[in-house]
Amino acid sequence: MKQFSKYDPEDIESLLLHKQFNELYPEEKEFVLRHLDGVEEYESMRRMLLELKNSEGTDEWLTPDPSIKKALMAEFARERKGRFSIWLNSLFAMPERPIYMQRGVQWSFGVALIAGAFFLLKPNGNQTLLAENKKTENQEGTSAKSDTTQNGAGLASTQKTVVDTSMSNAIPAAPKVLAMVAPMPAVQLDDQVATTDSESKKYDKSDLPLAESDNVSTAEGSSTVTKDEEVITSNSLNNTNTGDAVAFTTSAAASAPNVTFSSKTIESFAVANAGSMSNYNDLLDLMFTAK
Amino acid sequence: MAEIKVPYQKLADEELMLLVGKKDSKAFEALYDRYSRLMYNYFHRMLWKDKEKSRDFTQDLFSKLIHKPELFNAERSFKTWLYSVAHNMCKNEYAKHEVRQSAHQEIKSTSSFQTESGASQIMDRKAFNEELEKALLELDEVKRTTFELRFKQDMSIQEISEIMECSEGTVKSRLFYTLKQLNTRLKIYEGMLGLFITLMIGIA
Repeated sequence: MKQFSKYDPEDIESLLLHKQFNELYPEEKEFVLRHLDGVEEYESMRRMLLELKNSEGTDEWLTPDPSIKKALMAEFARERKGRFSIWLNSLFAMPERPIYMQRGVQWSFGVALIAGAFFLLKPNGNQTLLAENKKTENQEGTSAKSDTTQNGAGLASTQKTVVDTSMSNAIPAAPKVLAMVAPMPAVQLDDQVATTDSESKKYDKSDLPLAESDNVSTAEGSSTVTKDEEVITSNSLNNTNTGDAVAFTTSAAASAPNVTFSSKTIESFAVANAGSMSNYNDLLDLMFTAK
Repeated sequence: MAEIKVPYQKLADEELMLLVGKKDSKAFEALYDRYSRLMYNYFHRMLWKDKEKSRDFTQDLFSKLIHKPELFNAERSFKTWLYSVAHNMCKNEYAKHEVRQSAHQEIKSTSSFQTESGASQIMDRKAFNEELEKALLELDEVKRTTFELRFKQDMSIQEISEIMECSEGTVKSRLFYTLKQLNTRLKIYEGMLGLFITLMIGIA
């Protein structure tokens, strides 16, 4: 009996496929008859099983529609894209976490820190640059000195003067008050203004920028006009009324004391006396009187 | 720099599935090419030969591979796992349409009765297959699945036990009783087939 215990219904399947009933060993027959009614049922089942096995190859195999594959591949591509978006959101869009806890912010901070450290601690590049800068400053200082020497003592009294030959043609910004004063006729501009030898210059009204420039340097040593302050050498200020044209003439007199008007002062003065002024002469008269 | 080409066709199913987990579309394509036909036919046979349903189920099955590749246990056989997923899908479908299924069975039994009456006229193997298909549809889903996996998908008892999540003994027992039931169902036809085979042998 122990031998029979190794059999089970699946073994019947094997017996059915490979042996007829009369080919079975006695113990196999005994086992088969425990599960089946008799020889007839055994043979009947055997024929059916053989038929099943034979019919396996003849089954019609269907082929899935190619559109299924196409749809799935598109779905796969979308899934890949979707995962990237989720990953990106996990870096920057996590409202439940405070901003410093967000991974993207932490990474950005880390990268910025490393980049900053790299530029700060980089030894060679900066030193070279500093040396070059120093040299340039020295050169500029020397050239300024030589220019001052050429102009004599003209600039000695005016520490704020900046010598810049490249700006020799630039026109100093007019104080606001100039723009506010009554319409001015066309002004002739003397070419000498731009030359270094000239000790006087004339300003054309049309060339005077109405809006103040930040820092405009005039010809060598004569004057410096800044936004808030204007320096004019008083004794060289000649008012020349030429009918239609009005010209300012400034000279770089070394010994002349400086009279300084701030643009605010002039502006407030002009506003206060607007009714009594008709032209620059009036304005300047009033200003010097007031001074 | 030369690009390294992955020999997808030579890779095992399990290796391909791991690549699918890493979003390798070529690996997914290779798996689809290997199994789509098998699974489509499996669904077709298990879902009352409904082509539309088979199409949808095949697509759903491979969608699961795309969206949840992590469900696959690399220590298991991919084929077994895929069939077990398909089997569970069919089970859900049976549960959802229990009422419809019983109605379907009623229709089938009526039609089989009609066929039975004309069975004496059918003498070839094709007719046997048709009759067998009808008999299979009359079986309950557990027996039908067991039979399908064993004789149509050619799987081992061990694989079937893994797919159906039961012991190997249970699978063997189910198979035996399924064969017995089919034998009873096809007895009338079987007599005719025997006669046909005898005749053919005699002619030869």
